[in-house]
Amino acid sequence: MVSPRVLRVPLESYRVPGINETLIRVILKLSVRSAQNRFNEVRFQFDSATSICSMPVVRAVDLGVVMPHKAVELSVKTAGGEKKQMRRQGHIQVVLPALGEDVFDWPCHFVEGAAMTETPLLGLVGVLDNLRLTLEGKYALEAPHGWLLVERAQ
Amino acid sequence: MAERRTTAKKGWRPRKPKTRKATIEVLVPPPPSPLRGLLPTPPEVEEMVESCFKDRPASPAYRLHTTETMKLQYYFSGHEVAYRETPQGHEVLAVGSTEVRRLIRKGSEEELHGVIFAVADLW
Repeated sequence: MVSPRVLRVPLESYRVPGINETLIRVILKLSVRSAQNRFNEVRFQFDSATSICSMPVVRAVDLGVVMPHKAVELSVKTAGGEKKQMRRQGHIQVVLPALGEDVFDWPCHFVEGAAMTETPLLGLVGVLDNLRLTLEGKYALEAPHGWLLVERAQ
Repeated sequence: MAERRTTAKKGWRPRKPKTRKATIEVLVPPPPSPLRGLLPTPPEVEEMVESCFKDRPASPAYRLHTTETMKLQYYFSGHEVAYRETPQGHEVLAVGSTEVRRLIRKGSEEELHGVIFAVADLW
């Protein structure tokens, strides 16, 4: 049974050249805490194949997110093969206003050299301690391709 | 006692993988449109939206969101975009890394509130 405090986020549809099917992605708007204790809305793409949340360093600087200065070179597995990236290993403090005022603290990698416009990724580590994320393909006029259901983890 | 069998033959060596030729196609995004602000809907986008919702009708709000996202894709394929969501559609504020950087540098906190930064999907 679904608890009464469930955030239902419609899945976004999009098309790309060369693929006939309509594609789907999951965008979740989160409020991320800055060094000045302000919360700014950031669009994260939920990716269940991503272990740790990530965000471009330039975006974190723009948002005023506290992050370490030291970066380490990591080998990241992507669908297109392994690639090396310089990443700063830190945390983000996040609120989901629709689910209450609790502030969640999740590990986050800040990626050097990534463009400001790269969409931050919502991974699994830490996130699943606080949230239950369910993908549901149930059709609705407001969500023709289904929903992401977000609940507090019990 | 059963004799232990092995499939390994004497002098066995792993086969060398066959050399395969791969063709790499580099997709270079076309130059972005000079349009800014609210964007007109081209017939190509209307057609694409129709095909998306042929079997799955959508609410007007969802349809508008998809149309607006596809317009960004059509006009600014593969380029960085900064925009704001308005009831009339996406209002484009900056396109390309130079303009986006300038917007961030010069825009006040209030001006940048609600601005979405993204890379338009390839059209």
